[in-house]
Amino acid sequence: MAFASTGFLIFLLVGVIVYYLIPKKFQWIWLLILSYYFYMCSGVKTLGLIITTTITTFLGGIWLEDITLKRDEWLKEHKADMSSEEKKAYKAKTKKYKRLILALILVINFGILAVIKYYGFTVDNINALLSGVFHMNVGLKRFDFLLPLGISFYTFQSMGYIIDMYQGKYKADRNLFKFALFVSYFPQILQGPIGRYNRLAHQFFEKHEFDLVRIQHGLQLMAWGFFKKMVLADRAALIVEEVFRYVHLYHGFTVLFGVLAYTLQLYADFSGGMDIVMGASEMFGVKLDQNFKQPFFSNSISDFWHRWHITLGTWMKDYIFYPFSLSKAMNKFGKFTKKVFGNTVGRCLPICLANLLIFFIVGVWHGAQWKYIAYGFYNGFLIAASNLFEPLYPKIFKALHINNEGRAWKLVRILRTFVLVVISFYFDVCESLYAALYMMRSTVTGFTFKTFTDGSLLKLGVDYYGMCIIFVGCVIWFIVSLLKEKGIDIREALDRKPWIVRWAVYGALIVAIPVFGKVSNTIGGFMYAQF
Amino acid sequence: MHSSDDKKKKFFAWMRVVLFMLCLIAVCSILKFAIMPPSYARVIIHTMNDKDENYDTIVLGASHGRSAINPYKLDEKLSCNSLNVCIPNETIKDSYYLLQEAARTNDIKTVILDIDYQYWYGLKENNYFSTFIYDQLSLSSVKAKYFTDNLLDEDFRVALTRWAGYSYLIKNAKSNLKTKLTKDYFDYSIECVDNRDGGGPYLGKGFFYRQKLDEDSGFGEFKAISFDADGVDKETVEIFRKIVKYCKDKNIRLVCATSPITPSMLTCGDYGKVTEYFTSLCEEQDVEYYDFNLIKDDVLDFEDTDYVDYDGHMVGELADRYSHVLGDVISRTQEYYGKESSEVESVVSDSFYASYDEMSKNMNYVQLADMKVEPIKLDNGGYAVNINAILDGGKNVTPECRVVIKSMDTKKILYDSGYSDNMQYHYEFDDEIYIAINVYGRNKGSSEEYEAKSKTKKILLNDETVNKYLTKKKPSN
Repeated sequence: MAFASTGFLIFLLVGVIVYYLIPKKFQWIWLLILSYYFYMCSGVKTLGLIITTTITTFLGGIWLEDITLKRDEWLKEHKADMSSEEKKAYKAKTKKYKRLILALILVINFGILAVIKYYGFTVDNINALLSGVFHMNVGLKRFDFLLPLGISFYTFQSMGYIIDMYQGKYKADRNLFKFALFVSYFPQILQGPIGRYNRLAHQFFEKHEFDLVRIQHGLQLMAWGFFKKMVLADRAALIVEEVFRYVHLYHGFTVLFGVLAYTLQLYADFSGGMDIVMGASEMFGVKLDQNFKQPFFSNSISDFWHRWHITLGTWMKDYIFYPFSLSKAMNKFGKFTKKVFGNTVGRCLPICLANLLIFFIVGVWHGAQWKYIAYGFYNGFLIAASNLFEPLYPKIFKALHINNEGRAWKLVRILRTFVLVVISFYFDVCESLYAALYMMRSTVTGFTFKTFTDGSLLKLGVDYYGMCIIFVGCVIWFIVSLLKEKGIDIREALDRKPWIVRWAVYGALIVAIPVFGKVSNTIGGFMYAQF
Repeated sequence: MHSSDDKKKKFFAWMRVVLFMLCLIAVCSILKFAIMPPSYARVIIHTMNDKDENYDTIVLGASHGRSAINPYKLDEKLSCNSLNVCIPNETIKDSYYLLQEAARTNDIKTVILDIDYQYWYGLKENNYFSTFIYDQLSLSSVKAKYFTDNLLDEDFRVALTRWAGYSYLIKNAKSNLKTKLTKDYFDYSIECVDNRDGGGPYLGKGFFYRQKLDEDSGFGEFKAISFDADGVDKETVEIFRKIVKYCKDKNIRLVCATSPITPSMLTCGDYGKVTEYFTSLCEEQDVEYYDFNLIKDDVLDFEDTDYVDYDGHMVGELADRYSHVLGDVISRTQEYYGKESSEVESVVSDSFYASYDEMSKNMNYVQLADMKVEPIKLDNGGYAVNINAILDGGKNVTPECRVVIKSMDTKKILYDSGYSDNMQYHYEFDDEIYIAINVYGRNKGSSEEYEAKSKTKKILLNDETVNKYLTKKKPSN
């Protein structure tokens, strides 16, 4: 069931009405029913996988917690009879046991994800390697698995929970159905955000009274999301489709224009989708984590990743970056690098390595293709390099008389980050790594000013009228983002306006979607819904 | 006191919501009224639902059916009151709901379903515009069924604001309003329909008497028929089965018929597979099927000039003759209705060839089946084109070919090969040039008979064209 479908709107309408009509203690059960119905609408064949993840994670959580509880109880009982060494040894033993359980759950669930998403890629590369290097034609068979809805999102969300359980951050959920709702909650299962149990679960089980303002806010957010998706993303998609149809077809600024269009498409599509998800969830009284925070106002790549797909970034930081950086091996490595390269560089190197690892995983998460791995490494490399050269910046600023606190420099940094981000999207939008590199080269080598004057940019699938719509839409979006960046809450600001102004704005937004939205022949899916 | 204030506040809050919804509906309705061109579907569905008329025979199909079947001829032949409800771009799905709508307001005895393979094969998703018939259905259980069966999975704009698909026509709003605010529009007059000239005068009952075109008007695009039974849209077949079931349940006689298309199209490509497929499908469903492309010349004689395009839209004169023959076939088989379809069909088998092969053996024609043009960059900096013509001919015909190349800038003929057996040509040019290529075919030695002419192929010979051609030929990734 696509978010833009009539069926989804009816489903949501019925869902909300029933939600507020039934007794409050049954609200979460209704949400669970809605979530599973939504999931089954995309097919029942993959239902077993989400149930497997739910059950294994649920049982794993209880198991881990029971071990901790038993350990603490046992230690309490035998406090007097044990020496501190014995206590340490006992703790180490239970920790090892817990680690084994954690590993088992992680292997099962990431294993499912890996097999389904990466088996084909792995087999292709093994076959290519064996035949190319060893001249062996093994011909490992490729299976095309059915990709379950939102598998990456619910797997990451569940694995976050089990790691938290291992670390004893909060109590395990002992009701399978309640936990099943956390894994399958329908607004977020399709494209995130990747939720955290401690911030999400209690909202499901609280009693929610009907609140007209909350419903209005939810609908506003959804309308804004549809505006971004249908007016901006779907129009920009036409340019992207034309420019990247064939790798040799366009050169110079046209390619750059295509990548800029892709930047708009991706951002409008993904953030628009998030607005729809968050708006839909808000109507049920459940606030989801923000996934975007004006990413194109970032002043560095590192800052960009704190504002773009935030929940994936924080997941990576909490569950990979910190455990990896603080591991014994990395400690040893840090000591080694400090010894060899000195304090400043030596301290940075382990962090650089952790960043490279994280962005390698981010790349792989995006898809089973070399271009995504390159995309990940590109980002990782930029952040690592930035960390490494950070101590030099003050000296450079001083030498060049740059006021690094000034507005001009801030603007330069924002533009520089934008350029670096746009470059990274070459990897994302092109068909292959080769195509990305070829088109990067062709952007520079085929540049000609004629492109600006001969009207060729208006022959890329979007005419003058469409370009005007994109431009005006972007200006509106920019103003909204700027206000948000300045800390102004648009919805609250609107709430303070007279009702007639407020409702006129809502009406204009809603009418703009069909009037200025791109009419497509097929229902527009969201780009991140395929993960 | 507080409680009463709260109640008041709540009441006004809800009132504002209701007011907002009403305003939104009003704005959308105004936009719809202003933006959407007045459609033919609106008029014909209104005619079909006219309470003062009872149509016992309806014709369903798309543009081929509309130009081919004259209901007045059917009325004469079958002593019925028929209506041609064929609407250009009407899909089988639309036909299914139109049939139910027709049955809701009429006592239908016979349904003639005009089968055009193009609506069964290689269908492109076109949801925005495919709801144009749904949009005109009156508020009824049929419309509700259409909605729940088909529109739940569609973009909400399709179901709720179909006018959005026409928003780019907002510049026509003024003229639309001018038309729509007339009495004629509210009286459902054909005079108010956009593109009301269906190629000729409207005679009523859903029939346009199309006129022959001038020789210079062109004859549409020629595309050889390409058909593979595996490519037939499964959903369309499923809906056809529903039509069959519906008719059987309601005791409505369903006659499936394919109107004849141009001999040029018929003799070129996969038409044999088309007729084989539909014969087999209708046989499986035990439904009468008459492919009038297989009709014998002495029963119905037609040639390309009886059409307004290659695709097969008939002129009124042939439509009258065809409708007469169609009525005759239905009339002759009428008393056998209820028996097995093959038995019913056998009554008129003397009028049809038994198979496509048998028919093509008895036809003579010349047809340009394909024309391949390859742009080439020469070592000396000039350009060349390789032209490969593939001509097809009837059993008693030996095709020969002629290539004419014109400069698009000077309009002068640069090359004229004259007629010969040769089907491959190579021409060189010193510099970039914009040319038009025409290929002609004829029966060897004949000056007039069985002549075919290609569509003009225009090509700008330069580096970009050559590169694009090479890229398309060998996609790099």
